Amino acid sequence: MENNDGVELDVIKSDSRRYGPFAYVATTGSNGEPHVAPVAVNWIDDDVVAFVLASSRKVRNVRENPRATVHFAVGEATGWDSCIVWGEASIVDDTSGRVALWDRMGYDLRAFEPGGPESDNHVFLVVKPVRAVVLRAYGMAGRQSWKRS
Amino acid sequence: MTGQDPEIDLTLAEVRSIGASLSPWAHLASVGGDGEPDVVPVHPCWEDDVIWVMIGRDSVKARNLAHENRVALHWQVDEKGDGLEVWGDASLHDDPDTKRRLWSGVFDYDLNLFAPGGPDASPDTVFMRIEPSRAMWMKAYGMGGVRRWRRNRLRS
Repeated sequence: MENNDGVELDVIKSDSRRYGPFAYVATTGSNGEPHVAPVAVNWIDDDVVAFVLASSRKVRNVRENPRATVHFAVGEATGWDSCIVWGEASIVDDTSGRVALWDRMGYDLRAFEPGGPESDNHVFLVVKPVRAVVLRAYGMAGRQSWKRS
Repeated sequence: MTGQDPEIDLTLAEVRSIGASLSPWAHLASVGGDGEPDVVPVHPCWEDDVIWVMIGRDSVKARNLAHENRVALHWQVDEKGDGLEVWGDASLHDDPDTKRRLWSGVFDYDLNLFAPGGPDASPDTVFMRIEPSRAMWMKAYGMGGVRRWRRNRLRS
């Protein structure tokens, strides 16, 4: 069993790509109720980023409680391993910010937002990692973890 | 009839059926005392109108319930982008009668694979009971429409 605490964030980022582009992001609003939603994510520099509807519950929640947890999709193909990232969340909702991120998601955002980065209908949800862990077979086969210093 | 709210157009039986058609897996979100959300994959199973999840006694999700008993479950989306989220009130159960009952006949997988001691010798294993309070079924990530269920309506 591999138990490797203190790996670099790059190890987590590299592992996370095994699970495909989809993840489940958990947020909590001011009333304390949790919410979890599937999102397409990409690493942009050292942040996990999703392009989401401005009116979505996860955006409202992050505006009220700027924390989010990302769990990349699990499955048989990846041995039921888990890659989880906890972080500080923020919303990029201005045109200049959207322009800066628009071409960095790895897919054509215009398929979802024909109005382009000028449209206020979509925003970017950015999770700046605070800590992360990879669990092999639910942790039974080892783990790797990272924590921001 | 669907009650007073035209947006509430699902029965709980339909919610259960939709979940079964999507995936045996769901992602469970809970919240700690410090407000930090947590999300983990689980294999939920229904017993009548209640959802059960087998978990570790010392898991983060078990500890989180001591601070906040509301949880959310999102079934794994399928290739069409259809997804189901269920919110509910959760509680932990570890009494022998409940464990024995759940161990045989409720779950659709062999719990002994994860707790070889069985219901009487698995002190680290407990069960999370989730009583659904509302649900939302999204077709194609919501672009294909949204249908909802909520407890305490004319239609259950």
